[in-house]
Amino acid sequence: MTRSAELSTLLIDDNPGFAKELRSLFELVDLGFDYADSWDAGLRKFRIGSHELVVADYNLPRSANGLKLLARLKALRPSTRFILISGALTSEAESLVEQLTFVDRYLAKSPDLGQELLDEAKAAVVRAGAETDWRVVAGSYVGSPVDETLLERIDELLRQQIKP
Amino acid sequence: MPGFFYLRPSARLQRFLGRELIADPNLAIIEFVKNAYDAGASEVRVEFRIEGRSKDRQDIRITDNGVGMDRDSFEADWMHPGYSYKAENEPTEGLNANEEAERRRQARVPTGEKGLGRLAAGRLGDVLHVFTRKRLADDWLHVKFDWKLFADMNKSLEEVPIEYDFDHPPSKSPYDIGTRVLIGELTIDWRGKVPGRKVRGRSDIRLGRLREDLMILTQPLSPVRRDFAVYLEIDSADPELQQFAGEVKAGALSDLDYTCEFAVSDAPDGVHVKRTITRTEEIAELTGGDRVTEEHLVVTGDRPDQDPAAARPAELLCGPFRGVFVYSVRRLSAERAGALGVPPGIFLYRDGVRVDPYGHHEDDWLGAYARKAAHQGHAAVQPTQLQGYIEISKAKNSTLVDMSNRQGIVEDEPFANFVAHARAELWRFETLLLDEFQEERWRLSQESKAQLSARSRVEYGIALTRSFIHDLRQPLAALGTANTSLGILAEAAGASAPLRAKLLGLQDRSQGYLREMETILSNAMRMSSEAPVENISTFPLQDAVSGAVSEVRRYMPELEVELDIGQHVDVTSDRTILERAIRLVLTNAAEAPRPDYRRGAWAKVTVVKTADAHEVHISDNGTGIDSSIRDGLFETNNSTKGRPGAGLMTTQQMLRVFGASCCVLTSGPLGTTFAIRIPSKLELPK
Repeated sequence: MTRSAELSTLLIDDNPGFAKELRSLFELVDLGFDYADSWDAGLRKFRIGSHELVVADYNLPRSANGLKLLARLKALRPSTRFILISGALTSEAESLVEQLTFVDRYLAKSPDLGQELLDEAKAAVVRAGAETDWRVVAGSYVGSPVDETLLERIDELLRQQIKP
Repeated sequence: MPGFFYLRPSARLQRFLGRELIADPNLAIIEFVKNAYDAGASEVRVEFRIEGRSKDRQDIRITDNGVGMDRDSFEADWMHPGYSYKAENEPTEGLNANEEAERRRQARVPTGEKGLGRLAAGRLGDVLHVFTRKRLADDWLHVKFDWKLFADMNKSLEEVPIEYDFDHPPSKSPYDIGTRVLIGELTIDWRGKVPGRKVRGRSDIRLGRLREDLMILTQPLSPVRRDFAVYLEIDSADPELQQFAGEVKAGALSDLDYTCEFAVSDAPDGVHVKRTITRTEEIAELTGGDRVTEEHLVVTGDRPDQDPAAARPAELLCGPFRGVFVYSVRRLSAERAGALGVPPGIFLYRDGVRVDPYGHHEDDWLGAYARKAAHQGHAAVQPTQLQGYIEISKAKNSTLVDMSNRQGIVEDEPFANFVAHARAELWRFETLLLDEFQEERWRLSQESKAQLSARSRVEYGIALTRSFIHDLRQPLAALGTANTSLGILAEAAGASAPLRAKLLGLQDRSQGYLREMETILSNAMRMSSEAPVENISTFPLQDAVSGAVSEVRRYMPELEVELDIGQHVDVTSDRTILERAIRLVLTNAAEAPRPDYRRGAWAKVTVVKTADAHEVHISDNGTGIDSSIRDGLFETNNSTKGRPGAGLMTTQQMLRVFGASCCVLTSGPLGTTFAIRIPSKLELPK
C-alpha cells in the first residue's frame, strides 16, 4: 500500500450513493478512503485509523448532537483536519458553524464537493510529509474551549431545518 | 322618686366619632372638601406642606372661598356636633359679602348634614386650626382644637375648652373670604405609600390615591360641576409626588367602546327602564350593528321576569335613579381609560358627590368581580375595564340613608331594592356585550385560528421544502462526484484526442447542469428562510437581463438571442426572482412552437423605459398564442407549448410580490412579445 493510501480520509455519512462515488474517486487517484455510516461507527474507526482527514455529514440518524462527537474526535487527535458537510444549512447556520474552533472547514453538499474533498485529501498528504510542531497544533486547540451553548444552538437550528 | 337623667357625653367621644370611626384618612380630607362645596365655594385648595418635615411637623391646609363664618355662626354650627346649618337649609344671617358663594350655597344640595365632618379632622392630626370670615371688613376668626385635650374620659365633651381669637389671620391665604382648616401634628406621613397590598388600577402612593378619590368626588362621566374646582398642592420637589399636584379634573370617558345610559323610574303600571347604548364607530363597524340603540321595558308585578336580563323586583322602593356604564372591550381602550386617571368601578353619587365606598375594588357592590370568579375568570365584563356611576339624590331617594361613618348607605329594604335594580342593569349590559362583542370575538378568534393554521401550513411547507432540498442534494453531490471521476478517467484513458475532448466536454456540460440545479436549490433554500422583502436591492436591470440570458444560453445553445439592453438603468427589486422570471419567459420563448419553414429559434430581449416603470420585452418568432388560452395564461396552468405548464403562473405570482407583473403585449402568427414590468417605485402589496 502506498503512503498516500495509508493516509486515509474518513467519511462519516449515511448516504451510500455519495459514499460510493467518493470512494471511487479517491481510488482513481490512489488515495486512502474509509467510511462509516454513523457517528458512533465513525468514532470507533477513528480511534483505530487516526485519519488525517475526517469529512462528516451533520445530519445522521440515530445520533445525538453530532457536533459534540466531532469535538470529541478533535480532542483525540488535534492534528486531524475536520470538515463538516451538510445539504441543508442556511446562511445563518453556516455562520454559526464557522465559529466552531474544531471545524476546520464547512462545505455544502454540491456537485463540486467531490473535487473539493479530493483537493483536501491531496493537501493532507502534503502536510503529512512536512515537519509538524505537534505542540503548536495541540496547544491551539486546547486553548479554545468548546462552547457547549453554541453547539446546542447550532444543533437546534440544523434539526429545525432538516426535519419537517 | 322619679326624675330626669341627661346624657353627658365624655370628651373621649370625639376620638370615637372622629379618629376611630373614619378608617380611611382620605375620607377625612374629602369631608372638608364637601364642607367647602356646601359652603358655596367655587374653589377649594388642599395643600400639603411636607417637604423636609417629619410627620409631626407636616400640615395640611384646606382653604375655600365659600361663604365663611363669623363667631356666632361658627358657634352655632361647629360647636354642636350632630347639628348642621345645612340640614335646616337656613340662610346665613346678616349681610354676606360673598354673594356669589351664597347663591351657589343656596342652589346646592348639601352633601353632609350630620355635623360630624369636623370631628374627622382628628383622624388626620392632633391639632386643628380653623380660620374663617364672612366679610372683608371682619377680622379672621381663629379657632384651635387640640384633640389631645379630649383624651380624658373623665371630662365631659362640654368641659373641654376650645380656644378662639381674632389675632391670627391665615398665613398666605389665596382668598380674602372663606374658610381655611389647618391640620397639624399629623398622624400619618403623606409622603409615603398606602399600606397593605397593591390594588390594581389604583396608585399605591398616598397622595396619588387621594387625587384619585378627589377626581371621582364629583361625577366623572358627565360634565363636571363647572362651578366647583378642587386643587391639590404639594410643596415637595420630588417628581414622584409632584405629579399629583394641580387641578383635580375628572376624565372624559365617553369615547370608550361601549356606553350604556339607563334610567329606572316608577310609574302606576310598573317599573320603567330606559336604556341607550352607544357604540364607537369602530365597534359598530366591527359588530355590524347600529351606533346607538334604545331599549324600553316595563317590569310589572304580573311578569316580574319580563326583563330577561335578571329577576329584578317589580317595585321601586329606593326611588328613581339613573346611571352610566362605560366599557372598554379592547385593551388599548382600557389603557386609555387608565391614562385618564379614573379607576375602574361603578361609583355611587348623591347629588353629584360621591358616596363611599361603592365602586372601589374593595367593594364589589354590583357583583362584577363575584360573577367573574364564579365563571373561573371568564366573564363578558372584565371588572377592570368597566367604569361608570349611578346617581341618586336626597330629594328623590330619601329612603336611601347615609351611614354616620360615611361608609355607605344604611342597608335596609330600600337599599336592597336599589342594589337589585342596579345589578339587573349591569347584568343586562353584560348580556349585551356577550351577544354583540364576545361572540364576534370568538369568530375573530376562529379567523385567527384559520390564519394560524394557514401560517402553520406555510411553515410546514417551508420545512418540507427544506427537507426536500436536503434530500435532493445527496444524489446531486454523488452525481457531481461521479462526474469528477469521469473527468479524471477521460484524462487518463488511452482515448484519442478527439474522443478525449468530447468526453471532457460532456463532463464539463454535465457539471454545469448540476451546478445550475445546485443554484436553484440554494435559491430555494434561501427564499424559504427569508421574507421576500429582505431580498430587495437596487441593481442594474441590464445585469439581471444578461444573467438570465446567459443561463438560458447554457442549456439552450441553439437559441439565438438578440439583446437590446440600452442605457444603464437601476431598478429596486429582488434580483433573484426577477432573473428567474426573465429566464422563465425567455425559456418559454425558446420553446414556443414554430412552423417547420421558420429557420431556427430566435428571441429578442429589449429593455424599454415607460413613464413609471421599466419593461423587459421578450419577443419570439413562434406561431403566437391561441386566443383561447391567452387570457388565463398567467392565472392558470395554461401553456403556450401545448402541454400542461405552470411556469408563467408561477412567474406572475413571484413578480407580484414586488409590484411587478408580466403580460402578453402582442401575439400573432409571426411571434409573441411578453413584457415584464418593473415599477420605478417599489410597490409592495398590502
